[in-house]
Amino acid sequence: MAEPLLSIRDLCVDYVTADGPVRALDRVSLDVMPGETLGIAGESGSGKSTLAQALIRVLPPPAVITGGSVVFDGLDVLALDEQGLRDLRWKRIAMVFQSSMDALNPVITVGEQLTDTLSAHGAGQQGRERAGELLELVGIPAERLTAFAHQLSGGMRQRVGIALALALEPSLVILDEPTTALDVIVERDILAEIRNLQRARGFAAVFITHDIGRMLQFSDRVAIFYAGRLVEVGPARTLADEPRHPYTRGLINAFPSVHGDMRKAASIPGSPPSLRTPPPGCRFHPRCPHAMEVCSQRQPELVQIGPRHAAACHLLISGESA
Amino acid sequence: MRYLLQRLGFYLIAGWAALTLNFFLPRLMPGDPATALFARFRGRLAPEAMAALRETFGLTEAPLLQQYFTYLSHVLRGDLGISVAYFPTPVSEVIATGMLWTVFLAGTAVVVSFAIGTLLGIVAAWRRGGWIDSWLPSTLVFLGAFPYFWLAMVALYLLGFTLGWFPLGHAYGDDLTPAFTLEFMADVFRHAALPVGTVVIATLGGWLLSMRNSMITVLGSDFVNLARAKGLAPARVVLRYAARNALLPSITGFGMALGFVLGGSLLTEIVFSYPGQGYLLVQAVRNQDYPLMQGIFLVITLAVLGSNWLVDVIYMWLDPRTRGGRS
Repeated sequence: MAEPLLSIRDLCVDYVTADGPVRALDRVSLDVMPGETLGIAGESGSGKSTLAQALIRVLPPPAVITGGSVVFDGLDVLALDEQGLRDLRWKRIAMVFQSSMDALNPVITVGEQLTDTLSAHGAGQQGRERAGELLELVGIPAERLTAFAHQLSGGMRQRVGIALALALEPSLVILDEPTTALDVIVERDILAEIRNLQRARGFAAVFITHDIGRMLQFSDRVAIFYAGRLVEVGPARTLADEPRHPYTRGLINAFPSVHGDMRKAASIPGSPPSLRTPPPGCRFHPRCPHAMEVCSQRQPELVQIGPRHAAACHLLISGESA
Repeated sequence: MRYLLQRLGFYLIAGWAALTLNFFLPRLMPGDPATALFARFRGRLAPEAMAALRETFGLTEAPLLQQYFTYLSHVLRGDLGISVAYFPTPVSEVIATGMLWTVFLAGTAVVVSFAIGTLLGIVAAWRRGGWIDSWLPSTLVFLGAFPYFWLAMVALYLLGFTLGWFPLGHAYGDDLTPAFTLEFMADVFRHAALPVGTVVIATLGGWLLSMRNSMITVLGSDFVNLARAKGLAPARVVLRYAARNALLPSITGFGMALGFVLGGSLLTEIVFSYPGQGYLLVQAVRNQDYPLMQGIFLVITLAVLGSNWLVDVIYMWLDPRTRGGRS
């Protein structure tokens, strides 16, 4: 098998608060292969966006990376200095933010936000021309370079966000809920756009969302997060057909399927735990329909259950079928 | 552009309302300037002179409405009547000299204070928790909490009187005649240093805090995070992305401060015997100089309206969202 493009090992992120640290990401390990799309799903607060921001080290202040390693293309990301980070950011890993409504500077033009990115990485000569090409690439006429964010629709703003991300031909693009703020029609167009671009340029993508249905369609592999921990990871098709972790199953059942069999959408009872006082053992056990005694005592480790398929559940460890 | 014209129209109406109030209010009060002036001469004026005086001050027996239109047309021609305290100099001339000094003194103070305070605010927010952020805001707020005239008098006593580093008052030395010479200009700046300095010290904390707080909010926003993620140079992230947006709320405060420049430097001018607008206003009140008071109030009102309009213009230039319409 090929070398992974991005390799995350035992990554921990804490939010430092007055009452002591709160662990937002707990020993997460993941790989991203060149050109593949890895989907990351989970409820709000499960650590999806924290992971995205940790990868290029733009975590907002109270959050601190407290352990583990992130290796990108042979480069130890956590050991980089400020200059090294600036070289890594955007040229190699770019990011599309959750809502481009807030991700674009309201007082300077879209064009300037594209050209400053180019010139910050020594590609300033082609400047405006290249910026125009980038806009056209995502289906916006080049004359909109002089527009400000508030003059564009939500969908166009998100397209600008994608154009920005592709400006320097990165080998990895992190999509942090790129379509959450959009209506379904625009969402479908944008996802199709991303897929086409990805096919043409061959970049890898980390696709973060809480819409598991979308994710299963869009990703090659999917990782499921719960309360800061990775609970299951595997090929999208495998997860869709036979999810092994009770939480994954709950998530998939919570979304009605448009195609395939009619089935009842069922919600998972209860709500995610507070990260300040997480339950002992498996963090999902208070909500789990299959909880056993061991679940509240020991934290389950990830176990390999198939080709590239792993889950962290005591049901799997004790050999029983879930 | 249409927006600016709309605003201009609004300010013209507000200006007219101010003019109207300025005309009617004094006429609702008991007494009139002619009587006051008459009284100052303690019966040494003939009654005919009294009639002439009333005529001079426009206090004719004509119907009020007719007086009002006469007043409006005079104001539009820049004729604000004749000052009582500086009789017989026209009010417009008296105000013009005072305004020049006030605009220089208070205008410099506001601009300097705003510029330094905002810059320090940017640095404090950028290096949050650093040494500037830890003790500068509290020190400046502490200084700003003193009553301004007390701060000014202490500065005048210590730096002016005891140490003799600065002149004790006036806009320029008594031995100089106003001229555009290097010597005269230097003297003007030497005289302005202490009043400007005390105002700057007293108001710096406010600018610093407002800029710092608004910077901290903006620094946490998505677009600043994106700018950082794009690998832009830190200076560009801080100035073009964060500070450029954080400046907007401060601009409003700056506009209001500018508007009050013409009326609000009363204490400074009294403590430093500076021949500006505030000093004139005190003279006017002391001498019951109604025309001068009216004139000064008018100028203050117009200055507030004018600087509000200026803020509208600056805002439109700084914030494309207020420009309206699609490009």
